Amino acid sequence: MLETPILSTDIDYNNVYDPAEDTFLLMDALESEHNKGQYDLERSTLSLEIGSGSGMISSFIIKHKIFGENNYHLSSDINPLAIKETLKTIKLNGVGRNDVLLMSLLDSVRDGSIDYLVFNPPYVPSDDVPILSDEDRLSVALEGGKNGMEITNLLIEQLSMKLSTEGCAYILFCASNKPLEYKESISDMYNMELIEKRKCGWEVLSIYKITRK
Amino acid sequence: MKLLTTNFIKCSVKACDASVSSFPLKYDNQCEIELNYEEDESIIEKSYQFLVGILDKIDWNALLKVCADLGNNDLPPNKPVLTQDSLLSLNDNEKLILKQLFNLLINTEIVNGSMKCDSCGHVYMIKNGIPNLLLPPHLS
Repeated sequence: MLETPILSTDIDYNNVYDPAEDTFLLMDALESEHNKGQYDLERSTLSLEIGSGSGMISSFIIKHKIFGENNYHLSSDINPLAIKETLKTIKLNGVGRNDVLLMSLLDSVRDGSIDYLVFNPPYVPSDDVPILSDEDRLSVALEGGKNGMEITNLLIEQLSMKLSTEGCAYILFCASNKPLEYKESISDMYNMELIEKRKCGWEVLSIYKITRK
Repeated sequence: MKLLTTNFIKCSVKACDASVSSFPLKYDNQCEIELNYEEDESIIEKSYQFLVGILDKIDWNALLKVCADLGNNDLPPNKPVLTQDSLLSLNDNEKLILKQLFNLLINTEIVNGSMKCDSCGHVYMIKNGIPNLLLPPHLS
């Protein structure tokens, strides 16, 4: 088992998502992918975590060189308070080639550049997709609109343009996102492979690896 | 923001996606730069494989442009030709190139300043080393 990154004791959990079962499941999935040895590449790669929040998962990727020795990792969030915590957590957990940015989904990414994308989206079904405001910075990390899929849908629309030739995305789904139906609906363009699945309290969470067809 | 990152980001405005002038962004010549140059060859050597590999991913013309924006015109006009095999027998000139690349891409940070899209003119700020590529509501 790879060591879990440490978090500073003063993280502002009123404004930044507190790592929970979904965070740990995603790290476990990345660890099992890492252990398959498929990332020990000679070529250099670029990874990006969208919605890095507290920085737990990005620190895990950097600290354990999850995507190999020759990777450059970017962490992004739309919440300025979250990106500050991401940076703090990454620094706390040691050194590695990485950078952080404020960005929405893949809006500002150069086409064809991402080798590994990691995303724990706001997946909880809600009436509307919340808007980030000074009064509420947490809902955007949780609520995903209809079926909890509105944000994931937007990302998938951008994905094929932004991935490198052999690029892939690791994305978390909950049962209400109906991942199997979704897999079918995007099957013209993408393969979706189950990497990890776990019952967490009243939720069933799964991590899928998505690649271009 | 590390200089390497400038090679992977473009304007966030959807209407600029089709425009070649939305990448790279145009960096203000008043940007505050922090140089943390590494002189210890043994540290740089650990990144040789990464540097040679990342050259494949780098858009060299974009890198030249960003460096020129920031007042650095020292880069060779063409991307250096280096392969993983050439790492087995590097000459002094190649070692120097790798050292320069390491210090430029990884150890040069834009701490404060701004960057602009040549297509739509939108200006993005960089504060405390963090670039802000978010758009105001009317543009997103």
